[in-house]
Amino acid sequence: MGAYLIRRLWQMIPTMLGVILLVFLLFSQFGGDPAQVLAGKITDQAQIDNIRKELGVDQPAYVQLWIFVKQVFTFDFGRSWVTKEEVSRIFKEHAGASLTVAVPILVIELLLGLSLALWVAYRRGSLTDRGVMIICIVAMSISFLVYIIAGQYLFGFALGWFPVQGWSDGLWRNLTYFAPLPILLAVMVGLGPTIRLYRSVFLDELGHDYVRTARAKGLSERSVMFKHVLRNALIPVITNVAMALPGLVLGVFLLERFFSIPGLGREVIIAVERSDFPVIKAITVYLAFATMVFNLLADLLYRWADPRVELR
Amino acid sequence: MRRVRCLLFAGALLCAASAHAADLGKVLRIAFPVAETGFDPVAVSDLYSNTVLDGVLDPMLTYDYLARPAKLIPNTLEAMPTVSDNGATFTFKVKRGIFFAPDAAFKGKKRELTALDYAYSLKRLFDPKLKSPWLFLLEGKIAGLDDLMQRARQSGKFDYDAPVAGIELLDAHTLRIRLNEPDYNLLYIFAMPTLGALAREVVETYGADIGNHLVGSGAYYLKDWKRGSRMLLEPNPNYREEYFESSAGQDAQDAAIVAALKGQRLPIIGHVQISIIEENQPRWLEFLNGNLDFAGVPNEYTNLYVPGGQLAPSLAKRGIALHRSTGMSVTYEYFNMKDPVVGGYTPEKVALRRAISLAYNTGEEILIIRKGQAIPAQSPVPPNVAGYDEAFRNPLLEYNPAKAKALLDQYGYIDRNGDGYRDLPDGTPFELEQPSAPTSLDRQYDELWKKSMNAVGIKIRFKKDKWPELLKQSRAGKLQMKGSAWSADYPDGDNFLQLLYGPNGGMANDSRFDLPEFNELYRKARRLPDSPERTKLYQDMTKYVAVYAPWKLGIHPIENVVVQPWVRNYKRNPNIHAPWKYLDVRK
Repeated sequence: MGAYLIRRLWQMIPTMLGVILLVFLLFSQFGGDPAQVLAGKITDQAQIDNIRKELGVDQPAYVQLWIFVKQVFTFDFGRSWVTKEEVSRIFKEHAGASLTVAVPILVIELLLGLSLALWVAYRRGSLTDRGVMIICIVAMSISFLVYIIAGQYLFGFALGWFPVQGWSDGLWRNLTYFAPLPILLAVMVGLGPTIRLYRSVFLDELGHDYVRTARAKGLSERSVMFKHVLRNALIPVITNVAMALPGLVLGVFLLERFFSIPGLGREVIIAVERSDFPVIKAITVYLAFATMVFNLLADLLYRWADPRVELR
Repeated sequence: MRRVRCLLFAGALLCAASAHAADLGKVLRIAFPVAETGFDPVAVSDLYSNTVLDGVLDPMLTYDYLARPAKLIPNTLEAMPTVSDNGATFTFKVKRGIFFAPDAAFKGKKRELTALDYAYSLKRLFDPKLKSPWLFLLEGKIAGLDDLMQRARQSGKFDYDAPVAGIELLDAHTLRIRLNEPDYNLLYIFAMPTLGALAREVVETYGADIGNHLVGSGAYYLKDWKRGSRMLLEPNPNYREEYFESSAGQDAQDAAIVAALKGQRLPIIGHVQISIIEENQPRWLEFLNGNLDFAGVPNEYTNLYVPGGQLAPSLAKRGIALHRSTGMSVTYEYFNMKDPVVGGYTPEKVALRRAISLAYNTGEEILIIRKGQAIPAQSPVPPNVAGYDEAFRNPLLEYNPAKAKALLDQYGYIDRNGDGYRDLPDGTPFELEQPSAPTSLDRQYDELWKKSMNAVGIKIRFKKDKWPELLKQSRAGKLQMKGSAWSADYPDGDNFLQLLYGPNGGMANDSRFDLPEFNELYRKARRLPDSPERTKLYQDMTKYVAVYAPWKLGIHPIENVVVQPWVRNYKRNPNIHAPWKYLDVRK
């Protein structure tokens, strides 16, 4: 296990270098000239040259790339070009709000998705199964934006069950007062594809010989479904969750914008709108790193879920 | 050290706690649609950061709250500055007894505002390290300051203590500024929050982090700030005794405001609570819920809530008031005067630009894209700006495809190769190239342009690119034409007509229009104070724009602000971003 971990961590370095190179090339070639935006309404070439010098974008590409590499390995991305705020502070101040919304969404969606999928898989072909599947397909066919706009109007404004928008400094108040509506809407959107995916996984497992054997042995349906089917279906579930985990870092930017949640997703959109390269660089790199870490975690969980899996 | 600073700051706050007269129980709740970027006055250029700066910092001059057209009045000065040397020298006398809000940088002492603070804040605009987007306002104007900036660009360090010929401190409260040449518009610049006073010790204490530490001598100070989410302002405990002074203007509401504020000490409201709500729907719903005290009506809701320019009965019944005004900005499509197809001053080139202007359907743009919330621009100078001529009618503003076709036919722009589109008079095929950003709004404009140009037989294609890239190409003169907009930095026609002054080509003047007659009039106007003689020069310049058509003029937007019935004394003043100190809330 130790050797495996070291090998995987070691393999992250070339992957990370590839990410750095790709991000650098993309932004240096297609990112536009930040000095043009920062120069203001009226400017001359001398001022633009001065801004490029101050930002360090007048230096040769290899020098800029080296600075970027150093920033990644020291976790110091300097300051935002637009707000002059330290990039690390942006992460510290905004990650909490994103997690406050994204973690409950992930957990609720996982628990509800697994339960409902297990239920409809067990009742395959019944009216309930067909009804749930139709609802899932209809729900999946509607844009997330429609859910947000309609949900905010209906539940927030017309019925007044939730606040229309807002955020506070208290975790409990956010969780119980401001976050429930965005979480509800995100879960409503996410449940459709989740149930369909897990249902097909469970149906696949239900057709295996070990299920027939378990039933022939006289095990209760509860034991068959929860101890055998669910356990054996865990690998695709872990894969699905591991793929969703890096999204926690970014939050759900549409929800953050519409509900004025000061999370990282909203910061990313603002940074892209403002060509704020240091913030975009940091977020891209952190996201790549988070993806690699969560992939590694998923591999370790495969072993836990299925002892036949060998980590080599 | 940090703890000691905090204790000193808390102590100073306590000592000064009762110095203002505002009612701390009163809260004004507003929302910004865009997050602030920071609070270093010389470094930020966005409207919303500047709105907060307007409430916290003290420039030397300000605008009369009620007067229309805009009228400059002293803010921290004893009187309006003395102007001498035909508008090349200005002497400012700062009032005594004005103090900054408490801050740890002042080490527990009350810090008086002096002329030195203004001199220092002015120099900061020229510090290359600060990359000020406002440099253009004063670049090349103040004697000796540009040389200091050049030296700093070479040495890497701006010497704030170096003497500057154009900035002279006669005593601690008197500042004299000498210009390289007369410019009566200088005073408008000294009313901008960009030139609000910062204390040097505060800037030096916080260094690169100064944008996170806003300390001014204005009516409010920033008590709490969650970046990109919310701000809470409270009255500056050291704020001077300021009483409302203004006489009623022509508006019917003025008399009521004067009566309500007469003898009233400012500010009145104890808290200003600003939320960042980026999307229109939640912001509007919060206003309808009564959680915001005033708000702009988003474009998509105007047909519903401001139909035909009138407040909807559902809102009027609740006592909500509509404040409707024309914004001090203009949109235009510029033609690159150096472009081989649309540029030039010869009759056939002028005819082509005029035909394009006549063929574009501005009325449809206003009705469909802008939901009726704009008026056609007759001149580059918008209403409420010195030099605006209400009677002037631009002959090119009419939508007349028949006239456009006739003009094109007359000057030889006809289809010679039978492809269905007009060719140049020498027979060469041509097409217009309109730059456009990849946004849904730009796509609507693209469709309108295509429809308008095809209707008169002109071929047009669209060059899609990101906005910063288009800006770069525009500044480099590589675009044939481009849609643009300009909002007033100060309410004078000069701020708009500079966009067509020849020597500004490639900087403010993207069209690179360079007509000696226009340039001469512009130079003459700059040497004059606001007067009928100068207004006449502005009108003559506007006529040259109509004749040579370097711009296809667009629109002036209409702004709709709705105000809750419990908010008192509100009057939209386009030059005062933060009117908070005049407002009252009575529920």
